[in-house]
Amino acid sequence: MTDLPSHLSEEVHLAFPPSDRLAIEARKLDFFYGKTQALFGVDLPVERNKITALIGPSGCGKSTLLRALNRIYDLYPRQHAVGRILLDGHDVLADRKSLQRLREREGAIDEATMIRSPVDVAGLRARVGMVFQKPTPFPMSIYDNVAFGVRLYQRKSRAEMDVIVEKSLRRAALWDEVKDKLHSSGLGLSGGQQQRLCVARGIAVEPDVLLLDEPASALDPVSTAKLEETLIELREDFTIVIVTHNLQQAARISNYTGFMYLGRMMEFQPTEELFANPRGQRTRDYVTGRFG
Amino acid sequence: MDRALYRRLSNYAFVGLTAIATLIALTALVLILWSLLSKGLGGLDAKIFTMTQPAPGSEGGLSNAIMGSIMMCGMGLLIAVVIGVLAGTWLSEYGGNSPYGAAVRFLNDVLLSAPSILIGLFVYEIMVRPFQGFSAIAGAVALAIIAMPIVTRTTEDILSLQPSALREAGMALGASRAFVIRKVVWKSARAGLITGALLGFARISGETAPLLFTALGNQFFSVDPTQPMASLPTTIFQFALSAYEDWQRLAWVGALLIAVAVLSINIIGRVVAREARR
Repeated sequence: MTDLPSHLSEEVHLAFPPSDRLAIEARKLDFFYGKTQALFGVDLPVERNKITALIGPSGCGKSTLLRALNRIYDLYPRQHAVGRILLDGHDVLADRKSLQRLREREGAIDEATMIRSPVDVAGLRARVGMVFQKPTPFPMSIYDNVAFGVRLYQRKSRAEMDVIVEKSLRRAALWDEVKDKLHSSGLGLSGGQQQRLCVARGIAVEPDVLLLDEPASALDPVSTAKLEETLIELREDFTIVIVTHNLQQAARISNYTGFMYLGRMMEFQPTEELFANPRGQRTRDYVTGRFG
Repeated sequence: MDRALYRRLSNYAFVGLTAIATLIALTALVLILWSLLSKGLGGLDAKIFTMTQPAPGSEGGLSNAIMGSIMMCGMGLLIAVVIGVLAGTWLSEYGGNSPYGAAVRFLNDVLLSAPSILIGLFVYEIMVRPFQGFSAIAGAVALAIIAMPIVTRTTEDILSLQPSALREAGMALGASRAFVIRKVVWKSARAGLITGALLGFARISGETAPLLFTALGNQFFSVDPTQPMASLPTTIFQFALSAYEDWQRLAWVGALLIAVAVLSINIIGRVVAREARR
């Protein structure tokens, strides 16, 4: 692990939520694209039923961190993470290969805290939903889009599924717009509607955590406002982590904000605190728009 | 000379050359279609589809050849689509970046441009000689080997065009990779996959050489895949080279039928592709 340049290390200010209220947590996480290291010992504690926002200039590693949390990077053989990711106290990075990398990094690891059970990555992803920058509706009906994830894990009667689909679409604030065309293609919706459809699809499986990677960057202001309202309501039932380039968005909807820079977590504070009174010079410059 | 004038003139010259080249290519196509229509249309009647090929001087049609072409192209395409779609999927979704994947892709490209007569000889060696007989199955296999690289290539290309976020979104819901490929990626690429299959079909429907060594031809109506079978291209080959005028006329009709089939398959392929883009 490369040490932080010394002029930056004085700027790290982390105020983490109490550890007994966390839904998911990254500990000393390194991330590699091939040989290129993109994350350097990042800690990210995510409090249950809160919205945690990740901000920072392009390329600082916020999307990488998000994509590590549900191990979606596994799709790409040259990417890997080293460290701990705890979901309800279970280490989702406890597969043989990842543990070996961790051992190589640490020399020895505290075997007592290790979870040896095999990691069910698909099961993990069912508990950690994800919404992407561009809407990704599947080429099927609105109904089937929402039901897609549920059908993977549960056998439901038609009536039960109807209830789940309606509930999910309502929670995603899309029901009123699509209730009369549930069986037409999800591709026919507008961009904002498609994104809310993806939210509905993600929450239909009742995940613990919902990860959103710049979900509003392809949306117009009205759709963005709608999506933000939706997220604030979803906080009641889910834990949300959102990556955003839009500082106002982070300030409006999140409870905690983490500022990342050069693959490090530079500052992590309750959102009001971070925006009103940023501790680090970098953070201050970024949130006041002086760089980034 | 004035620079601006020079540029304008050279531009005109270039546009003119491209237009002439286009005209030459189009003229060839129009001439082919014209000679097919003028010589084939006259002989086209119901007997073509109902009667088998005649002895010289007597009445007859091409029903045995039409049936044979449909059967062998159909079987060949079926084999080619099953193998080609799976191979293309593997190249695009799994092994395409490995050295082995690169080798497979290269060999597929070689196969794509392999002379069809070689493929006919190959199938002759592996299927006709060992079983001591020409058969429709051997013909279908030869056609399949010709269509397979086309289907593989288009499948890989089309699947590579599908956004990776689509795959990630499926996997992010907890689905396995194979499930996402089958239910989301293939579905999203459906039109392209159909177009690839149609391109393969258009390619093999006019192939003659590989069938001469495998299905041979058959002057009688037959649907038995273990026996020699007639096909439009081989019948055209036989009739066009004959000295009998009525056979030559039938050859023109057969050529017209193939041209019309290929043309309409291409048009259907385009329509499907356009519909899917909406």
